[in-house]
Amino acid sequence: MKNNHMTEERKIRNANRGNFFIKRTVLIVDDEEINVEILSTILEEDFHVLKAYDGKEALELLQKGDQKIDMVLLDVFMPFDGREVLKIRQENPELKRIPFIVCTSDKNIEEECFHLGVNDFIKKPYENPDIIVARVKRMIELYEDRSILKEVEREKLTNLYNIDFFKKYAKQFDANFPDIEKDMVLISVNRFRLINELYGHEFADKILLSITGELTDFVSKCKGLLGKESGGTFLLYCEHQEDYEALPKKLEEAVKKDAKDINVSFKIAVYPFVDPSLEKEIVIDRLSNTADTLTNDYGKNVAVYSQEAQTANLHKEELIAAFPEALKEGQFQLYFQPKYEIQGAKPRLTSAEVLIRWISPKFGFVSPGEFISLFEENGLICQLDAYIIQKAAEHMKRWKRDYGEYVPLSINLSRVNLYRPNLVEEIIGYISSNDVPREKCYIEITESAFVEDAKAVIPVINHIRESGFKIEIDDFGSGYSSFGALADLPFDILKIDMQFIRAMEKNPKVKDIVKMIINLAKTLNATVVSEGVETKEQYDFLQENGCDIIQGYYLSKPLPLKEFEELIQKEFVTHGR
Amino acid sequence: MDVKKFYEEIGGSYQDALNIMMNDALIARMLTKFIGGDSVDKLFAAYEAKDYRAVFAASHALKGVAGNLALSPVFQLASKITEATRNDDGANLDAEFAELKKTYELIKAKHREHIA
Repeated sequence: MKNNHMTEERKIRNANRGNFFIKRTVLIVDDEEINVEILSTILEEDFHVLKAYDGKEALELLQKGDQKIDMVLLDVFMPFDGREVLKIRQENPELKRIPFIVCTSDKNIEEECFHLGVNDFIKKPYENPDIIVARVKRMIELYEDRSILKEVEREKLTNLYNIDFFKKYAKQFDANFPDIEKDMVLISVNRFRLINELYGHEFADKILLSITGELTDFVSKCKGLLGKESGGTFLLYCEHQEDYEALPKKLEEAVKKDAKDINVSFKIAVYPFVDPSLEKEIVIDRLSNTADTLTNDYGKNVAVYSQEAQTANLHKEELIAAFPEALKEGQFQLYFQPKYEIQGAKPRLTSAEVLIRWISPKFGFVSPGEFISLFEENGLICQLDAYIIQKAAEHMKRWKRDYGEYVPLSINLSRVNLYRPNLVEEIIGYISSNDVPREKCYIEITESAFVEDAKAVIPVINHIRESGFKIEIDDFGSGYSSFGALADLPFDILKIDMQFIRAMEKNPKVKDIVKMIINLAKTLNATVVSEGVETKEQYDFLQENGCDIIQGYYLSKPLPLKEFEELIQKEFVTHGR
Repeated sequence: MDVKKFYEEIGGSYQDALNIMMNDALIARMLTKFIGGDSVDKLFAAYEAKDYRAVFAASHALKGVAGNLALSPVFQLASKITEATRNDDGANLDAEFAELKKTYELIKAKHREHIA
């Protein structure tokens, strides 16, 4: 029989339709039992069929949720009208995920049903059963594909586009609105990982949802789209805005609703007027770099990408990449800033501070101001400091051999080093392997390093000092340590910050401060050093007021090795010390 | 049981019924359900009560069922009554109802003869 033959065909087709090997559930809603029975007979071979005889019963089944319903076939004229069901569905996101087909013999109500969000129609009297089955399957497939796509393209928690689809849709946005100038914005929660760790995922998720709400609000007022990067980072691609300064505040307020007692701050990096031909990936990378220029602290929290900043960032990357070879090839050269004792009849060379210069065949002279902070950021400074200590120890050993004296050297130790567990042993290793007495080696640590994390840092410095090295507080006066705290700091030498020395001439009160620091150091049995001494007036004042040692251009500029050795030769050998 | 003959004698479309329901057994079962049900009675009751809104609802329902059962004469009459009462008009449909009564009686008789 023709119809049985068609049924067979359908079975074969079904068998080949891999994704339909699990029977989907269809709910038939009609107050006419005969219609329900006929439709059920048509569908039951391919679907698991549920039946309801009015709209109310249908809604109960749908909302009970103990069975996943993949499709609803809905009659319109019933005691509880099908249109009422459709209206309720429009307000219910769960029900909206289920496709609805209206079964009707009435052409007049099709338009009304379309407006109520119905997905398709089946005509009464029913058509060829194969067509009905195919139609139901197709609609279920479409919905499933759509929800799979939705799952793939969106981040689960926030339901925003994930980064891959964000980039894709950003391109589409360019294509659809070529005349609109657009900005890409990266929004990042400061210390998000810490928030996650301290307050738990649930809390962190709440914060992310508040941010999503605020950003969705923002984007609804301008053309744009939102994406979610990993962690606490969001992306926004939207019509150009004059400024984004108000955004962090709004976000902070939104988050405050959930986190009254926790300070959540934001970093916002803006790439204005994105060139649509530029890969979105590149734009996002540049924004990440721009965001990195903002610290995690309060204050400035919006940074705008600029070509200059990007060039500077690239240069930094180049410097980092060049570091290993530079170290190996000896591009880092030790310079020596002579230090003179000034309380005698005439200034006398006592020691020197080791400075570092990078003379690169590729970049030329690289300013220490540029590379030291950079290497402190990424930890390369530890390798550089180790290199300096090693070289300094080798020079001191050679000078002893050549000039009969250990010329003491002050070596700057970056604060980053102070957190390394083997630091002291390594320093001892370098110094001892060159037979240099430890007390000839002064370790310079900035006052700010002492003060900012005193609890962690002071035990390490104590250890260094107890191992026999002398400790020199560098840049004293710039770290704002209280004089009371000074009594607890382990040090032998106090070096007054050069800003004070420079300011003395302009402001007589500074002279009093300098005098006070000198007296304070004396009280604490420390040697006082003044740096940046450039004029006779400064020199005379410091000498008169009891400063022990000075360094600076007035007596000598920093010298390269050869010239410093000539100075040692002159001071120590020729003058017979 | 001769379903085909039933359709021939009441002026319905056996082929349409078969297309929809795929086999005689189901067609017979559904026809029996139709005869045993109250969809036609409801329509008559509504018309007698001059409740045109109810007439519309009942004729609309009957139209759907008759269509699916391929009972063409009932389908056509129900369609006519549906359109006539769509706007709650108090139209005179005595002729249609008389015709429907006759047709329904025939269907019942032929059902007894060929199917029940």
